[in-house]
Amino acid sequence: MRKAPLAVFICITMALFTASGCLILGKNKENKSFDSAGIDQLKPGETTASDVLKLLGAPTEVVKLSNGNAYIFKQVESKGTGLILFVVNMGYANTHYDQLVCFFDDQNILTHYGLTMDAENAHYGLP
Amino acid sequence: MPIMAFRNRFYSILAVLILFVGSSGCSLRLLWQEEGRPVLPHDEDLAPGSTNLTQALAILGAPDRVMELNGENVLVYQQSFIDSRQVSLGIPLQSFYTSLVKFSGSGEVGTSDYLILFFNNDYLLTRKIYEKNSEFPFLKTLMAKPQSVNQRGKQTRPYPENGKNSDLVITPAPPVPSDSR
Repeated sequence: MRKAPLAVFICITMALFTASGCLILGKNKENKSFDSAGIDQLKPGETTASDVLKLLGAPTEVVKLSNGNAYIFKQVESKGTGLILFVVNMGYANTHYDQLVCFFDDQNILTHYGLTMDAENAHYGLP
Repeated sequence: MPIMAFRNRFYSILAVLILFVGSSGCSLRLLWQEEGRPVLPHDEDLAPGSTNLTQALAILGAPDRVMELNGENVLVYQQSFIDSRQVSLGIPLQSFYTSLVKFSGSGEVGTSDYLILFFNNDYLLTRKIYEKNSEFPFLKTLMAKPQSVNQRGKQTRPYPENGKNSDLVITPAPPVPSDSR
């Protein structure tokens, strides 16, 4: 039986060593998820700012507008992937939001609201 | 013949070792970050002068940012990207010397696509701005020279005519008929 050359053995060892590495998966969430029952109760023209606070809790941000205010509720979800090899390192981070923006007039009555449920679309991947 | 065989094997091992040791000083790092939803121009759905806030929110959902600007309410939809790359070529000399001889190049490009909507106090869309920056090539963006102050006023084509292949589209409000005032 013929012996494999030493160079082949070293090549295989080096290939295994080079290919060895680690895969890192990470997930990050900021703020609690929205209460969908609370969002269903929002009625433009009827719901007040106090009602919104009772239903949804404290907003992430409050913005003064020219004819009222806007309350912004935001939930952030991020997913990250890292691939660390001997020579090549790759990283990928993907962030998506669930966001609700409530617009109030000068009397603090809800006039409009916009809702985006996109946090679930955060995904792992590579560049 | 045994000497030739030994020599061939020796060179093979030497080549592998050089490759192994040499590559230990080299690295390639690629990082990509994406934040937010894709931002589209919505040219057909959003018409300044006729689209109201309710319609805009129904089409686009919640904006990423809201602000007040000169008496108008501004909704900003934004998707951000960060592209970071680094290449290092090194000669590891730690075994013989105290440091590593290393040549390294790195760059990071952050871009965003924007859709900015302006609403008046009657919640009517007055104008919109769409800007797409994410499709620019990495190296071209990184190496582009910044415009000097004198050149900024000399742009020959400040606002491209259509939104599909352009970088920036500003859609102004339609002119108000004189008899309506």
